[in-house]
Amino acid sequence: MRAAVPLLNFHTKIKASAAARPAHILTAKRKTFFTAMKKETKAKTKKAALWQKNLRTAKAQDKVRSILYLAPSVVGVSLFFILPFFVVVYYSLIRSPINTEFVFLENYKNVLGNSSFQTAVNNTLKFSAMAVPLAVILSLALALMLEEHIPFRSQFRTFFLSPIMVPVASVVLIWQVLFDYNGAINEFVSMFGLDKIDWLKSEYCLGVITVLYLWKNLGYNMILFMAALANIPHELLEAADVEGAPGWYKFFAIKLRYLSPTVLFVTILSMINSFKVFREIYLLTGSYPYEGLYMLQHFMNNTFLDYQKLSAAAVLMAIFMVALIALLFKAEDIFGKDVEG
Amino acid sequence: MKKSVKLVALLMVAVMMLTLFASCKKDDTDDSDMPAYVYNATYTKMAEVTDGWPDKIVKGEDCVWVAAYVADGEYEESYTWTDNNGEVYEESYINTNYVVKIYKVDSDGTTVTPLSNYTFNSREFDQSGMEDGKYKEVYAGFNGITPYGNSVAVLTYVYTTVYNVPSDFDESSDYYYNYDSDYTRQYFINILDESGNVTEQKEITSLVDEDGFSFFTQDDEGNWYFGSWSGFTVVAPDLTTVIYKSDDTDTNYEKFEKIPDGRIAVLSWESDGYTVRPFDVKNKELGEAISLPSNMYNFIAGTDGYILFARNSNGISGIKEDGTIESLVNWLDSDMDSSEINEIVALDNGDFICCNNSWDDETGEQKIEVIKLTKTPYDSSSERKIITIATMSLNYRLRQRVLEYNRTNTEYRIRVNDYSQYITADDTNAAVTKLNTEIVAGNVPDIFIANSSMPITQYSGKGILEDLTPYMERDFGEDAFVEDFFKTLRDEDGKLYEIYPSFYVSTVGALKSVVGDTETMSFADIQQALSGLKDDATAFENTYSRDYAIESIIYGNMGSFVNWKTGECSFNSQEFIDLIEFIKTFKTQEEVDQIYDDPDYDWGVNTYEKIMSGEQLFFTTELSDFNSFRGSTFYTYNNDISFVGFPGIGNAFGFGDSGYALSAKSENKEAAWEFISYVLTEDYQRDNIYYYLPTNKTVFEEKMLEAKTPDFSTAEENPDTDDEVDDDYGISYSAAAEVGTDYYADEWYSVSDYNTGAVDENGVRENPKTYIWLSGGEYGNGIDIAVFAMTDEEEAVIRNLISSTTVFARYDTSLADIISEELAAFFNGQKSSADAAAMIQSRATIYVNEQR
Repeated sequence: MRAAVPLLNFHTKIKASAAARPAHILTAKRKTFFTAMKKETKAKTKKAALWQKNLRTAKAQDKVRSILYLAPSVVGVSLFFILPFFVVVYYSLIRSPINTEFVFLENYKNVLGNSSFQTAVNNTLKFSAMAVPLAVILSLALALMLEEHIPFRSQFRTFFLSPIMVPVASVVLIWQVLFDYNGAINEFVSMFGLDKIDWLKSEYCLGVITVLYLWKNLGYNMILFMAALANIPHELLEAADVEGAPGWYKFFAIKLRYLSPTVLFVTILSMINSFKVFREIYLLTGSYPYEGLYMLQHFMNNTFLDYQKLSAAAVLMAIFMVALIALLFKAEDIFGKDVEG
Repeated sequence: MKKSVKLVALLMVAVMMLTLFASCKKDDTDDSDMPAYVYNATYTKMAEVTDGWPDKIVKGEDCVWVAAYVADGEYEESYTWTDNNGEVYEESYINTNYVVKIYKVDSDGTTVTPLSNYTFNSREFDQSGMEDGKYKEVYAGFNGITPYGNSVAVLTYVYTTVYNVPSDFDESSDYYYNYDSDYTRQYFINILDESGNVTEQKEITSLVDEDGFSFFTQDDEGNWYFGSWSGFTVVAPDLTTVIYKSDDTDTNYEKFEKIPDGRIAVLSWESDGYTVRPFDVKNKELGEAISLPSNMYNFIAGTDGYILFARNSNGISGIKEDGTIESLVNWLDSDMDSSEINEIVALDNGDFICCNNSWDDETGEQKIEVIKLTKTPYDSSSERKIITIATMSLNYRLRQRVLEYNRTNTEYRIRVNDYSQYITADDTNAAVTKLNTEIVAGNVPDIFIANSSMPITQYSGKGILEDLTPYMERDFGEDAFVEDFFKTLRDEDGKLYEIYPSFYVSTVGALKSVVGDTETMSFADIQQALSGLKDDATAFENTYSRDYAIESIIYGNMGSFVNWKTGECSFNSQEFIDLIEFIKTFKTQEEVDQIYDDPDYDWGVNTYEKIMSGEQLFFTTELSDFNSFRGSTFYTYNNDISFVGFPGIGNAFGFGDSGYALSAKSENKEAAWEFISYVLTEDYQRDNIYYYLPTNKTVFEEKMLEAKTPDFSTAEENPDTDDEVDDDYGISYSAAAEVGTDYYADEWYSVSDYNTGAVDENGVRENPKTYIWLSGGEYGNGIDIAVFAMTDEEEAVIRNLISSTTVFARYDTSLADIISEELAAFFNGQKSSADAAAMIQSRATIYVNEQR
């Protein structure tokens, strides 16, 4: 585009000159002028072509430079993510690392038929289904609460954020002190003459872990929601106030619609964190916990030596996660499209 | 700037690509697993030594000095003693006199020259006897050598004890050590010349502290270092000025070694293991401690960049000053037997000179050999095909077999990876973890040594192992082995992934007169039988704790409650609930500890007495040898025995000697099978299975037949050289009773009422197969029960015991952890037996199904 600018100016100049002088005078001069202009144009065209050529070279160099800058990341990602992914898919389709016979979906059938895997999937889904909505709803509620001008607002914010800073080992220690058979909760319960409960080895185990999960994650989710709430256009809320819209209407019709991308993000984040709760469960109960706490990551961790089982389970889990996240994106697309730019 | 960014980017790409390619597997000629060096051994026999052993070996300037105890004539030693009746006896013994001789070994290890004029003979100092009305006892000893100029210095001592015996002391009826004594000692440094003449003797008694000196050395500046287990002293070359004296009472000192920079390092044992600290003469202080590996021993002075060398049964490692350890010599790679090596010293060029002490197969005499280990680059061009063995422990037999194989086989070479070296105090599973990681990475060994540490079941479940049945049937035939044993090792499809040369049966016995003629007992039967015994009668030993019961009954028989093929567990079954209820009746470990701590507890009452007196119902036993088993069961209890198996479980097989498994991926399956199948051969099992039962059917039947065949001898063939022994042979309990009570008073040889031995009218006697020691009850201080040939009835019971056993005792760490954790909650009252069993079932099911 830059090359077109001088040409345009040149034609404009010609038109202006022709309009101002008589025709006979113009003929001879025009010849001379056009000859000179031709020369000039030729020179300029040549220059422009050269410039274009240089530009192309520069673009090519830019491309090479970009590739070089990107190369370490591309190689790294390929080496540590993409390649292992295909390796895992490969392993899930062969008999064993020892016998590389192609067995197609046999490993998947074995894994899906394995009762330990079924227990792990069941528990993981149950936990996620319980913990993730709670993590989203409660953190949104907290964010809405702290958005109001309540006393000790900043102290509350710090209070809810503080669990993020506590190391996992300490969290586990606190939970052990609380929920051990001879722990604080049971001591409290026994004060009322009730029987002690082995919390982590009973039907209450998932509840205990859910409380731990929420305690650990609510603060961060809350901050995300608070940031999103601050970005909602005030004009809309003020207009709603002027129109006399009730609070629930403002929440569902304006706030929630504007929060929908954040809800999606927090949901995905909470879901990922719900899978990561294995770390706390493992530290609390070891490799083989009570049936109700046996998660997918237990299965993968414990079957480390069984590559086929491990890889098939990993692929199944990846497919499930991709499908779930795609579903969430679709939902977000439906509910939040009118508020996105 | 831009250029530098480009360069950095390019460099990063190059590094990443290199990493990528470096991780790619090389082709099958990959020899990264091979050692860079091996050590060639040359042996030089110390010609004049026919009886003796090496004691010390030290490095001189261009040679090595060896001090050895060698036989030098004999001497007689007499003792007098008086019995309770006042009768005086005198006994004398002929002993070999061992003296210390010193040898100079040249640096190529081939020339051994004795310092002919030096001999340390402790008997020359022996002047024990009465002197001036007191009894004087003198004892002299040799404490070692250290290089000194062209020769060596020797540290010796003389201890003199004077007992203040009374004037009427009679040596034949009294003992001098019953009286007070005064004790003096002298320590000497003897400087020798090249011929062994003592050129100078210096007494250093004034330097010695309470515990004396037991090792010493000298540094390059001539300072002397003397040490004992409790401390050490550094003395100036004049042997009078003390430079340093240790005052650390918590350290146990072991030896001095000269490190490459010329300093003397002090090796000691501290609370956290072996450490070495170089001594700084200038500042008169010990340097920073360097921790030494706990699985190493015999530390020696380092050379060639290493502060020390250390050796163990695997080989020699070099230890650097920063504490890093590098493996240098692998005995098996060098075709050497570590048990051959006694003393060792490192030469400056990285070679080693060692001494061994063994029997000479040709002459039948003892020999001492000097072994030169010459560092030689590993010759990969002449590489034989490698067969790898993974083991969690390298036992003597396997080492010998590998050595023999590698020395003779021209096509294959065995390489042993002993994973026990990865075990640490913090991680006892590190060996299995390391092996698992290597397997996942595709580095599968050809052969696995099957024992309780190797997770054979998990490996077979993952298709890592080869079914050995076709190999066995092809090479040995279809009915060549004791299938009753092997069937318990097979999976549901009949595949066999491990072989063992020997086995045993664990079982539980009780008096037939108490429990009846039965092969199983329910828990109700046990309670009923106990109610018929004394009030405080116990089912098993009084000192049998719950922990011990869990270990021996449940852990050893997990297979009874787990179906590894289907993933079904039955830990929530009534049998298991009854079993753990039963185990809860056992004492806690604390209660058992209290018994052990109780000074009034009568340890004289043994299992036999308790069972015979009705204080105990069961005894545990193992069928691992026909004769000793019969002796400890049929003979001990006069054939009043029922074998009922472990409560709720039954009998269980165990393996005797370690077995083998073969990798399904091995590229040398036939060669690997040839190596491992030798343990199944008749020749091997005839010659090597001593205590356990052979798995080869032919050898098993031979052993059975041997046990059944009476061994007769006539009076002429077995002359009465020993009346006590003679009286026992072939005389039944009832026949012996007729002989007279004197017979029973004898505590050395006797017979049981139950036996088959006999003496016929011609004096032909049946010789016992073995004797079983039994004390208690009517046998008082103890007797030997003579065990005679096996009867048909005994044979039937034994065969039934083997054929009725359906479980192979297999320990599983993860299952054991789950069970012990949940049972602890049951035992301390937190949970009911049903709840604990349900919890075990829940967790165990997950674990077992993961393994499928």
